[in-house]
Amino acid sequence: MNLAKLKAALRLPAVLVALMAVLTIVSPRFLAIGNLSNVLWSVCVIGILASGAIYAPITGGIDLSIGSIAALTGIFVDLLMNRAGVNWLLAIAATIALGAFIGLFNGLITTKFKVNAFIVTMAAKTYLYGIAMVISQGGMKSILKPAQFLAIGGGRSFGLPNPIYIMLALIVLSHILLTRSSFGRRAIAVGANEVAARLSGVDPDRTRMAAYTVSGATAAVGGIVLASLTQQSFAGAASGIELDVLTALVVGGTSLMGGSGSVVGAFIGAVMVAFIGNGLNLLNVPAPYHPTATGIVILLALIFNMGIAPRKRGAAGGKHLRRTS
Amino acid sequence: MSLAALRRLILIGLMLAIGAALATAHHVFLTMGNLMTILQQGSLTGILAIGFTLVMITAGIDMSIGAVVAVTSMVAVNFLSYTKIPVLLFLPLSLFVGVVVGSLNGFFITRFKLPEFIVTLAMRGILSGLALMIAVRDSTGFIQNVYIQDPTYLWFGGQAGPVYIVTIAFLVLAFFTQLFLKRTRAGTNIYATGANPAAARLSGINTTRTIVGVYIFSGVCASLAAVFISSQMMTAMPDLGIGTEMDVIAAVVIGGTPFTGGVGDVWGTVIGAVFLALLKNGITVLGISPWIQPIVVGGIIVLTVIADVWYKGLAEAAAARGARRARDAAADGAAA
Repeated sequence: MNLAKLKAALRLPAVLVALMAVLTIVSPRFLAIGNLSNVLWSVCVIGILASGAIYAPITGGIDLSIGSIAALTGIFVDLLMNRAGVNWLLAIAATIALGAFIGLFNGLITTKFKVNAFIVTMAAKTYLYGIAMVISQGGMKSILKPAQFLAIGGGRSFGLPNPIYIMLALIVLSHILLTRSSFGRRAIAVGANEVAARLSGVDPDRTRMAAYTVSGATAAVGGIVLASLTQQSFAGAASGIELDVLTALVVGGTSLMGGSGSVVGAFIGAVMVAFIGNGLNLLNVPAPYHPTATGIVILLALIFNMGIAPRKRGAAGGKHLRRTS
Repeated sequence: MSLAALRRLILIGLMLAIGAALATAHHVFLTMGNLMTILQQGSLTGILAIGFTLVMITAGIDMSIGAVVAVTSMVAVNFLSYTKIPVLLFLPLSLFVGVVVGSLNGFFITRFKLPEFIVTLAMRGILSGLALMIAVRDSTGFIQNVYIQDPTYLWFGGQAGPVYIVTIAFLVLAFFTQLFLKRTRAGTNIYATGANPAAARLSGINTTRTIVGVYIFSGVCASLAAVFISSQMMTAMPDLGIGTEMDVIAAVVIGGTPFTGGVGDVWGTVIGAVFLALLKNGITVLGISPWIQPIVVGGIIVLTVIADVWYKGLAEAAAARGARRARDAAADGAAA
């Protein structure tokens, strides 16, 4: 690794450390183990979703339906276990399959009909929310059993909440998938230059479909963890979480133009955004300021990242998230 | 007949068919009151959609419009609650919210070359927080739903004869925006910027100014819609309008303005807005669960986009066939 690469890789952790230092100075409570563990815990669903949702932007698309998928799968797993009486492990497997299938469907429409990814997934976000409303009868349901299911989100192992382990496992897995597998390589190639990727034998459509499938599957995992953690399921469960995930990705240096991204960066981004929210809480800043702060962070991160991410808005540019062909 | 006109005719035919089906299904549908309500609902979405159409023609997108509605209505109720300033004086000031937000959107998009979608989405977050911050609160600090009583303000939500004021405003706005798009140089610049920004720049069009301009217009349309929405509801919440982006996108897409930019017009959007309002009204009139509405809105966007892609492919194939035939005929002529 040469010096320039090392500098780029250390930039984000350095910002994180600086942010932590500032927060420690303004609020001594910040560095308490309890508080740090809380922040990590609060970020776990976002981290889980981000670990899979990163592939859509890397291939030059976007997935805005993850929040609705998470809510829908949370309701679905509850119905399977407590209405249909399916074994909890089977129910979880079926739910992840459902998430993957929804993702595949998104990918299918995006690629086969050459429709802008963000409109497909935003429409999906809307109709999936409607479907979630219909199958949940618009109500909120408590999930009281089985105990094994509730342990996923509510239990602790070795002193830390279980969701943290799930998140870290998925982050590591996704990092390996992105940097070490041929799928990761293909995704980056398709996002960086679709024509070149196709000429070198990569099928862009299949890669994209795989990206959305992964995104849907991790959204389902997030939905399961969220349902187990909050012990309830309803259609609005994870509404708007796609914005938090997007923030984490963008802060973490993933280019929305495609072709570059970092799973570890996304994780650090998610933690950073959570730290900012946590810092605002510790400073007694009222909740209404939080979306405003998040929005400003996204804008600043975008402007800041321009120096890192490759610029791809040449002659064909000027179009947001548009396919090159 | 041009493809766009044919598409529009199909849409109007479909609308009449749905209308006829609804009329036979339920007696309430064909009453004057219900038809005017459809137009009113269509107009509220439509005013937002007119600004959105211009943004889409430049191949951009504006996700902040819903939040602009929220902030504008919060500004308006603040004026109503805390000041004695007459409505007609502070209304222009409220519309200024849209100008400021649009300028900021345009600035970030053009100056830093950031994706439109993410900039306006971030702006949406910023504004939704802002709307909560400036919301009118009661003495205990809880957000209060202000009951709007000012007659001048309520006039905007009222009717002139059977027709709602907002419908008239919508059609007037649509007429002038269409005129602007098709008959002025600035309008042509918008199409050129959307079709090919590099070519537009090279031919001397100030694309930065064009893009900033459409975002400002979109913001102003959103602020204008906020006045109509809040006066029709006679109250305003800090989340008023947030989430309507989806309806607006649906209206514009149904109306035939594609996401790829360079094409589209306002009359299509007018038809799209009314079409969407008709569908939603049908769901209500038939007594179907309101939860179906998001499924219909999301589904119809996907279906329209797919149909458009299919239709475009068909048209391109036909054009290619025509061109080949013409070339063959020319070759035959030359040979003879």
